[in-house]
Amino acid sequence: MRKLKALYQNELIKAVKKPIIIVFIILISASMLVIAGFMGLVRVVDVTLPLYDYYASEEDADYDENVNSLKLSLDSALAKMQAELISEENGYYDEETHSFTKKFYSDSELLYSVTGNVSNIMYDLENSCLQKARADLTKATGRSVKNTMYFSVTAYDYLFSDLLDQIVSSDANRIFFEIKDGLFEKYTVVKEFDDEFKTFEWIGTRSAILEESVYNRIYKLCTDNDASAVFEYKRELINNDSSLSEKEKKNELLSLDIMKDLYRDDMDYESWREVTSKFQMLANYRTMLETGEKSEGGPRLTEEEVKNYSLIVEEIETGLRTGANGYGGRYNSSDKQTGDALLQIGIGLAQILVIILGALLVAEDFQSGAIKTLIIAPVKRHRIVSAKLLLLVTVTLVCAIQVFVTYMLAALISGSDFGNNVFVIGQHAYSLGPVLYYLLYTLAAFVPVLFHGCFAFMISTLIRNTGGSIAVSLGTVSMISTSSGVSLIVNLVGSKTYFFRHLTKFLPTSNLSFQTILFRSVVESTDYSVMDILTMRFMLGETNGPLFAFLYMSVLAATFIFISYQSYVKRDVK
Amino acid sequence: MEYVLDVKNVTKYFGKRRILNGINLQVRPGEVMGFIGPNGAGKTTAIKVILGFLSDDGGEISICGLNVKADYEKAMGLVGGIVENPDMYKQFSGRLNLEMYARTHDNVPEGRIDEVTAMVGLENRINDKVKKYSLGMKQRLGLAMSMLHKPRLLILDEPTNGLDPAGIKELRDIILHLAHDEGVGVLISSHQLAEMQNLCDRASIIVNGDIVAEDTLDALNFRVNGEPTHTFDVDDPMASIKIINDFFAETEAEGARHSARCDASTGSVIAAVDSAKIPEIVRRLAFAGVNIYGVKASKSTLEDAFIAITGGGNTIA
Repeated sequence: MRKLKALYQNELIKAVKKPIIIVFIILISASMLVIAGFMGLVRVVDVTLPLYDYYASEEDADYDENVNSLKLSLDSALAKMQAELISEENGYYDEETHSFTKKFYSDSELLYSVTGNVSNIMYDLENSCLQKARADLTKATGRSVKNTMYFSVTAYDYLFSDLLDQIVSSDANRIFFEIKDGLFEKYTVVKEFDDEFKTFEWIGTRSAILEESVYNRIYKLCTDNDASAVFEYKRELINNDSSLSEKEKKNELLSLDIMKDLYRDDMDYESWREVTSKFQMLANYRTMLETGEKSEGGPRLTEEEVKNYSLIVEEIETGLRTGANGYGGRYNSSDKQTGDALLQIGIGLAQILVIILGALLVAEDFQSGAIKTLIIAPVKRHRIVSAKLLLLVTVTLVCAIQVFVTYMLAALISGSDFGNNVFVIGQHAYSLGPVLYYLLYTLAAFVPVLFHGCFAFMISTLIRNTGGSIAVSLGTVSMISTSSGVSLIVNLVGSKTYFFRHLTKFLPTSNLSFQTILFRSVVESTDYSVMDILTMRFMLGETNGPLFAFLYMSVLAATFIFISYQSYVKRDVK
Repeated sequence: MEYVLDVKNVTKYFGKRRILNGINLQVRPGEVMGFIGPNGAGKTTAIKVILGFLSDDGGEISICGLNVKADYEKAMGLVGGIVENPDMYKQFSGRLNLEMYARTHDNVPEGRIDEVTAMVGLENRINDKVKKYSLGMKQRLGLAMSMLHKPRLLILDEPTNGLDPAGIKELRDIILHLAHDEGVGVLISSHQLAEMQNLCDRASIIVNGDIVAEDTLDALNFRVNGEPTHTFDVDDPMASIKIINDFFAETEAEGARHSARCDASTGSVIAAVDSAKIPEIVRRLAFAGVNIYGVKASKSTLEDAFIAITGGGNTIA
């Protein structure tokens, strides 16, 4: 132990005097704080209106023209879909809810029905709000506000062939459009295989911050003015809806009531949307559980589905009671996203530092010749490796603490509450408070950072050359960490068979975002118990659980460390 | 007798090539052992195997009776060394390098760093960064490092590289002091054969991975050049030869008796006598009326021995 301590002290001295460590430590804090400062500035100055002015100005004629032409295409496609559906046997269009349904029968038995929604509870509410907002904005700014409409379409490709030709590859099965406030925000094209989805996404040219500010402004105007009227209107709609059963009506009205309760001035648009979408889910699952059918006249729920849906319902209800995961409404999504981005910057820089350090730790000694001093010293070589690995762990921990502390400082500077974070584990919700939550989140995020460091360390012991080991480590990590790298591998081996589709689970990218996997899974862990994960239940899911990811990283890291020891202890120093 | 270094039958392969062919090497306490051989003979490889840079492929190494494999840390704690060039952390000061190295040892007392620094004459520059050092200064620092923990065995690979003449002399004084006064066993490899001659008590010569000779310098000389001789510059060689041979007849037993001979080219008389017998011989020659112009000891060098042993495959086993 004494020797190990001595070696560790020496490594510490070396590390403290390494310029690259000092540079990165400064860079991590500086970049996070500068961005946080900018966030704070944005908040203080309130640039919402100027941005809105820019958006509403005539300068962007081309863009508006594109949006308009797309809208025209949408309109015509919509009309076409309407006509086709109505004309078709068993297809109908519900003007009240703006939804299209086609039912497929085999003999007289209903096989399944497909429904395209142009509208839902969200649509009515938002459209009403937006219409009000448009009028208010026109009044406030003295300009006519263009393109203030919200459109959400789900339909099938044969109805949308014109658009498909224009925008996406012809073999897409489904296409989703979302046009909000005239902004072509995004569309999602979904290509459907037998049981898997492959998603292409394109996000509009407007920056998120611009859109957010416009939305928030509009939403604020709506809620300040006449939110209760909107709810009353919706209540009337539900009551008068003859297509709804009593149970469905009850659920919809319950959802509406809770939604109204959640309607608060301090909520922003996105968080409100998130909350309301949860209610949508809640209502759907409740209806399904009560009827025992996936949809009216649709297939029965399996036992497993009943179990899972019950748990989901319970989770949502628990969340709503405790204010978890944005259910409570004090959830500022734009702050949270920026906050997450801040964390990612810190973590990303720290990861580069840890990789470079790992790659240098052994190689540097060999390159400078200082390895001779180490070998002549009366210490066994495995102790030298241990000391170096300990240093790697130390630096990783220091970085984690630094990122966490800077993040907390950033929250102070920018005046952000980076979100109210609640775990839902099984059927119980726990509130951690932002400090503890982000401490745990940051520590979890540094598990893969350390994993990468171990990889670089192994490369360092194998290559024994600083330039080479940095290049190989950073190159490998950046290649396998990017989704394009994974797609490349998957495309090379082919993704059509079950085995290769699930092969991606065993690729590093599927397991290295440990913090995301961990916290997502904790929130949504109602699907799988720990036992399920242990018993390889994860094989059936689309993604891995945190336990698997942790085991995956542990096994690989242990291998890296084993190779490092073998290479350092057994190989000759020529 | 316990050797500070006892290398027994050590073999080393690089791939399929055998670099060390079962070498044996012993260093006694208080003795300076020269380790010499042509380039590529395996000197540095042998030193690296002893110091643990390279694993051996057979054989046994003990330091002060401790088996290196069984008692690595204890054994290596008794060794100090420089291999090839003394490379250290160049971005750090000489003192920090010494401090870091001292930490890995159990028994470096406080003040020892100043002591060794003064010993190698680096006290004025010890706080400078090593990257500002000249090669000679680095050698001094390396030497200071290797002496830091008062080792029982010092292994120095080409320690005079880059040293100026004063530095070489200081190094020699330090090594001789360590060996003869403090009883440290020293193994030095060097190409500076003249320097080695001044320094070494014994030498071991390695050729193609084999130790071909290991003995005191005198003994090595004897093997190559025979006994040491003296040359008598006289005006009457024949009379002189008779007088000297008579002297041999009186003082040496029959069978092991030397005889003087005449060097035909110079007309001098050459006889294998040691210095102690010179005054008596001179007295007898003078008494017999021979004029003596000079008496010179024939000096054969380690270099001669080295070349004779290693050169042209003329090896003495």
